[in-house]
Amino acid sequence: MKKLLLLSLVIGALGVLPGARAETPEYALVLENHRFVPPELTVPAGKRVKLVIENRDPIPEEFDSYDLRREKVIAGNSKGEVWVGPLDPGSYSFMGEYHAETAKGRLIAK
Amino acid sequence: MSRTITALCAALLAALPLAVRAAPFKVYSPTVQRGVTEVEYRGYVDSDHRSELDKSQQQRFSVGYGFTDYWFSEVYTVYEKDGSAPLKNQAIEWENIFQLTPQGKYPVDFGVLTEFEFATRSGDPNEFSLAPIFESELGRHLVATANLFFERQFGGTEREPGTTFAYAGRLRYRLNRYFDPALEVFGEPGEIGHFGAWDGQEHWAGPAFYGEMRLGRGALEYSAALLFGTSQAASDRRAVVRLEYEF
Repeated sequence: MKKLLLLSLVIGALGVLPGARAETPEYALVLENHRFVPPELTVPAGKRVKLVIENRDPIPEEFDSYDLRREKVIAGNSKGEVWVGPLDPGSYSFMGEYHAETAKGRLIAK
Repeated sequence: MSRTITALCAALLAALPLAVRAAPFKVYSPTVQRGVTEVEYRGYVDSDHRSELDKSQQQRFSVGYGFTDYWFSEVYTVYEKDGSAPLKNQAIEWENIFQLTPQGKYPVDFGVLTEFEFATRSGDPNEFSLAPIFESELGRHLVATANLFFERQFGGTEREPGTTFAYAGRLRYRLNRYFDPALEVFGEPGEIGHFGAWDGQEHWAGPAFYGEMRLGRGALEYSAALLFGTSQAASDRRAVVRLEYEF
């Protein structure tokens, strides 16, 4: 059992360490009046990036993207961080799940 | 000879306490959502050429909540039956998932699941499980997930000695929101250090699919799998259904 637990920890550490050494570029997104600003954000392809999403609305919103495989609830008047990538070149849509009619956006990787 | 082995495996299975046979049939992701409430049903039905295993099933119902960005807690009630025996309440479970790395920050997402199973029938053992959870995106479409369960029974009159190992794994292809095909493997080799022959262990593998749709204020996530036993001790086939409503 000790060997299996040790193996689990080693695998976990191998996953964590390489990313910890790299500098992650940050990109800001604002959520206001249930809309993303900017609605389209360009990020480098082939790199892991961090989206810092500021929810300026007083109620929570869920950043939801099937394309990016990310869901993140961001409380009202607060910030949330979402890591994505490394992405293939292309277009990736996202939305605010609680206000899907207006809260729509797109990430362009190139 | 093969009939003898089959009969022996069936006899061994029948002799084991029910909790030992609770091989996982869900692959857990290490990611949790703060403020999300989840109502879940999942169950399986076995079909097998041995009457004592045929129509065995387990049905689970749960309610869970994401208390923080890294802690999700869920309480289950578990019903189970062997063969043609009646379905009975088997256990109450308290499950916690701890997300230990932010999703996507590192090449492998990492979390830990803990589970306390309290037997509801007198004499059955209780059980504690600890499971490291790993998940990694392999390109734009593939996601690989692995759960390694370490289980220990306590209390009761027929508990298994030592620590039992079980596993769950999945390779999921991101096709579209409503239908992601996947391959899943599950198994319970047995007590660590005493796994024994392959045919005395339980192993399944088979195709599955996942999807989700918006429903009312939340989202309905659904999945199903048809698993095939790859060892003698496992049932021939296991049909699995999982439904989760998140809001």
